[in-house]
Amino acid sequence: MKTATDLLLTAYAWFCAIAVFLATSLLLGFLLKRGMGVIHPRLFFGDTPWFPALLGTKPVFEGIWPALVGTLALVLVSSVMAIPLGIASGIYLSEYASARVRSMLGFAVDVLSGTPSIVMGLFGFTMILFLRKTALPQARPSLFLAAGCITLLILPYVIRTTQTALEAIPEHIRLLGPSLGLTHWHHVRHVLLPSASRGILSGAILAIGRASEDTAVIMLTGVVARAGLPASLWDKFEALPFRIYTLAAEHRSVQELDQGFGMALVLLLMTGSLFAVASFLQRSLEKRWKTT
Amino acid sequence: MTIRGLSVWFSERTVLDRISFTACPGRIVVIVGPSGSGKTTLLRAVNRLNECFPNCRTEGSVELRLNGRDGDIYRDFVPLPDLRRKVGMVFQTPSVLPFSTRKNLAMPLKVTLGLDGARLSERVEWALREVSLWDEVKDRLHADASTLSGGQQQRLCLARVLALEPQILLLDEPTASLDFKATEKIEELLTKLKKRYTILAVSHSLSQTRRLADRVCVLRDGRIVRELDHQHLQDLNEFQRLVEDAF
Repeated sequence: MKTATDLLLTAYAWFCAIAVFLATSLLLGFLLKRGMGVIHPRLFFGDTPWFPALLGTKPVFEGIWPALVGTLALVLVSSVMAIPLGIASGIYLSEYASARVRSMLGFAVDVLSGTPSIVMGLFGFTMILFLRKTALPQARPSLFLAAGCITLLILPYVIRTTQTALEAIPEHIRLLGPSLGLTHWHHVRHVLLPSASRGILSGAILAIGRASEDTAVIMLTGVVARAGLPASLWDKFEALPFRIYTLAAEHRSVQELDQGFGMALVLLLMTGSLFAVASFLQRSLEKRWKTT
Repeated sequence: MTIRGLSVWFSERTVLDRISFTACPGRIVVIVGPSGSGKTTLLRAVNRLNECFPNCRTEGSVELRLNGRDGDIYRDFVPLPDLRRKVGMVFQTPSVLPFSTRKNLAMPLKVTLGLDGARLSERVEWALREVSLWDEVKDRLHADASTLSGGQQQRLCLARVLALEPQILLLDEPTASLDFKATEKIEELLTKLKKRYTILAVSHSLSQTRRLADRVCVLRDGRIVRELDHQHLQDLNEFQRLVEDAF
């Protein structure tokens, strides 16, 4: 028979689960209500015809297309830098580092993960000032600098989830590779990484989500209100989080605020799509790993 | 296989204390003893798997004949990965990888021996036939190995080891997590395999030990306190008395 404590804890657990579900539903519902009405090609392309706007042959002045592309570019560049580096670091910490090195590097990773994003942005900005006075007088805020700072911001997520996923592998699987005569690297590559793939993916997804929504870092390192489509990594760029922030802070009418909600919805959809692509890639890779 | 004065410590704790015995092909040596007596550590000392654990120190010698050469494995007379291929180990819990049945066998063959194509497929089939698993899995080689029953998984693990052409088999309670039917199949297999391999096994079951063993080593507190030959295994009551005395 359940005690009063059991019943209370069960009720509390249900309450928390329902509260989270309700909060998420309310947020989504509110965004859909306020933002759905403005989801229209005009939101993306303004007065520019959509096909030349997509190809970049004609500039978009009022639409969010350049900001959408800028955000995608930022997320992709920072993910390409952070995810392999983070996974490799996580593997090193879990499988190669001595206890002393693990402790020191682990501390450094924890400090990095606790760094406020505005401080990371200041770091990037200070880096530009330093480079301008020394080796690179032509250095300036750019997509690459912003992506680099975002990489530093999201690296700890990937490192820690990779390390945790590897360390959670049960002992009988850890002994299996060496017992079959696999070298240490073969054991990591062919036994441990496939066994930890889902945990590693969750870290990558977390990192992608974080990269797509951060505003403080990019404000100081390359994002501007109007820049058009980014022509290269060394150009300034637009980004959805920054557009949402400026619209929320400086809107002059309810319609403009509703545009902000529309952009927030687009950002959510974009991030959700990136998660779906990442999950699909992981499932395809897993299917390939399992059979070939 | 000749073990002389083998001692193993983890941190400052002595797990094995000056163990010495021999084993050869054609005979199964079963190690029995109370929990914590060092049985698994003794098995793992033969393929140096204890070194995967932190703060492990080993002294003494384990001399093996591998590929026609004799040597002490702790003097690096053969590279470690080669040693572990030649001294195959099957664990208590069936350790299937999160792959298909076929890949569980194929991956170590590809990675350690460089087998591919037809040669790989032949070896996979041969190993599965050796453990009488081929007919049960041939139509679902690409299904996840975790969908196999416990007994099938354990036979798969044995096939995986046999595919690497070992010379010595280390079996750590291979039937501990299996029902009696699956246990029967594994025991039949081991009786067949002992003709070709040196087999060192750990068992918690005295009846299984009587059925399988040609020689029994009783371990207590890291030392061999009794060795029993085939003649001691004939009478169940006598065998039980001898083992209980040693425990």
